[in-house]
Amino acid sequence: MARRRWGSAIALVLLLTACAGPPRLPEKRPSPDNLGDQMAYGLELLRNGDRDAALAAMERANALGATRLPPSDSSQFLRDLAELRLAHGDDAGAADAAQLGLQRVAQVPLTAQFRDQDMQVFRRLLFSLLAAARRDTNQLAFSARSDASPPLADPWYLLGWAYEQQGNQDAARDAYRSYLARAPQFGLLRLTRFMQQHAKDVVARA
Amino acid sequence: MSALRGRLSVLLLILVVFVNGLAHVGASPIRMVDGTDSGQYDLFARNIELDRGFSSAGPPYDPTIYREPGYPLVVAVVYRVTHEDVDAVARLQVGLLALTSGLIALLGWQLLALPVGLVAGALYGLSPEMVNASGWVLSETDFTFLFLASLVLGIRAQRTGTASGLLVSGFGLGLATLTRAIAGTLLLPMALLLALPARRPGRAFGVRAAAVLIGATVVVAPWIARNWMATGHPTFTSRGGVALIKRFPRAAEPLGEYLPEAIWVATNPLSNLVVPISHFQWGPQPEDNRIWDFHVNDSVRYMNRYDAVCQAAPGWDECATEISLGFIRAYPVQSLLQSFFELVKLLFAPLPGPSTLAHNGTVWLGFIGMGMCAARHRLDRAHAAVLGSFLAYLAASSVGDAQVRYSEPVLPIIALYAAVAILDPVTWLARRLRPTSPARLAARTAD
Repeated sequence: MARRRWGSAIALVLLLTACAGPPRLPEKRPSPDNLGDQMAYGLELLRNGDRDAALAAMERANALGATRLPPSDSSQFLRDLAELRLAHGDDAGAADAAQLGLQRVAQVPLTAQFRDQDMQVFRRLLFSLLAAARRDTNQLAFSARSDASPPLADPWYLLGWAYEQQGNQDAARDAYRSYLARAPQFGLLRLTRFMQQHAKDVVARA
Repeated sequence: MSALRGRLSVLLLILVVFVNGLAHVGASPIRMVDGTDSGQYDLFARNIELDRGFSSAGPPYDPTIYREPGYPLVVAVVYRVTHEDVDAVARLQVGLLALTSGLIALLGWQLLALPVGLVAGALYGLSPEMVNASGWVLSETDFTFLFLASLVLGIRAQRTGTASGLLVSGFGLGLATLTRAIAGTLLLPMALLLALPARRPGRAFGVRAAAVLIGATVVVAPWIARNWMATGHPTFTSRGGVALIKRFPRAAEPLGEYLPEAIWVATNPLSNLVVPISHFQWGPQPEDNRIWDFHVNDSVRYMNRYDAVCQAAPGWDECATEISLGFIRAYPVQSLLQSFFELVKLLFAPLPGPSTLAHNGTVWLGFIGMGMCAARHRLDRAHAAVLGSFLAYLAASSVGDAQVRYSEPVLPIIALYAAVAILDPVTWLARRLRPTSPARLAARTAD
């Protein structure tokens, strides 16, 4: 009797789980001429940790006219592009994208769910990316120490990164420590997880 | 009142609530509510009905663990049987609303007195808010029925001391968890509360608590197994991060920022007579209002702010959860104290109107009734299970971003004590006004 009950229970479990069907892998062949596909693909590559391929997809999206999307979409795209170009060593390209991003974000209409504070957060991030592309540590330190609300972690990271590029390891470590004290809760850039790992590695080397 | 008359009055209540609900649902064509989960539930149900699995996407219908399966399955079954008649879903839910009213009446009868139960059942089942909700493709009506049925069965089993009854209560809680994941957080507290011996000594405390937990696990386990097989994650849902990320960034804001708005909402609609809602308006659009900022806008802003970060993370839910935990670590006291504001958002309707008067009035009467019962030592162990479940639900709800819609599952408990607050003064007044008989007068004179 007990065996029959166990058998029924297992059959029920199998019956219910069978309804789910086998897992299907997402289609991963974006059309080279489709803007939406390229943007989504770039994001998917970023999720998978492939930053170089993600940048290639974003550059393709840029060529397909991503900057002509409505301001809310294009400003986010340009922020992503600036981030990836900077990480890839294309400082001039990063500065261009950040500057255009600042123009586009100024055109995003304010609503009850995208307030002036949200716009200022966006602008501070783009200004920081621009300053990082120019290795302007004064501007980055000013952005990082801003008492605007909410506080941002990313300018601290970019300050540490700029110092690191200049060979100033002690200052870089201090900036990274300040970054880690604020991340992840105030980290808003797409590469946050890579940034956190890098900052931890540099701080740990001390 | 005899038991038979009592049962007949409960049946009459069920009938009245059912007929009233059917009349209302028949007159109101709205089934899908903008800005809610209605559309997604409908899509899930249609995909299940067409044998595409549990998916809210288009081809190739990737399986998801974002939503609980219980409600979409119910809707899918109704669609299959009725050829996708969404009105049939509403009619089914009206039936469940009526049965919930009956359960409230039975619970009130069991714990306090039949009139209390009947008034509480009517307060709940005839409230415009609940009648409206039963006509919508949303899970609250079904969840409330399952949650309350589990509680009533559990209290009955607690009184008789039977572990099998608690096992059945656990099954119910498992079904409730499959409908709304929040019930999963109630399993342990409810198992412990229902395991407390009531009148008769029964099995050991541990056995009784285990019976509830086993019952729920048996029901929930296949869904976790399915998720493991379908997505590689042995988890129940991937929606925890959304609720957390909408709530915890507020911990970094000044604590008292929304105190005036919270007090206004909690005392609405009386507060609207003193300070009209227009006082909080800051822009031309209807949603440009501080009350709406407090209730919805800020939560959406927080989610939008972090959405870009988490879209680039391997798991959106884990990313949102990690960021939220970052806020809790950085602002532990603020995070805890902000729960007060979440409770206000959960318990009180924000926009003035007759429905809000009914909802907020019932909530306040409920708290007054709880206080009256406590003051008169009328709270025994069965009440502990009811009030403990209520408090556990409030605590669990305040961890995430709260909405007044989420208070519906505990409105039966609130209505129960609200009925005490209504009936006790009426009874007291009736006694005072009743003509004194000559015999009683003589006895008083002799004293």
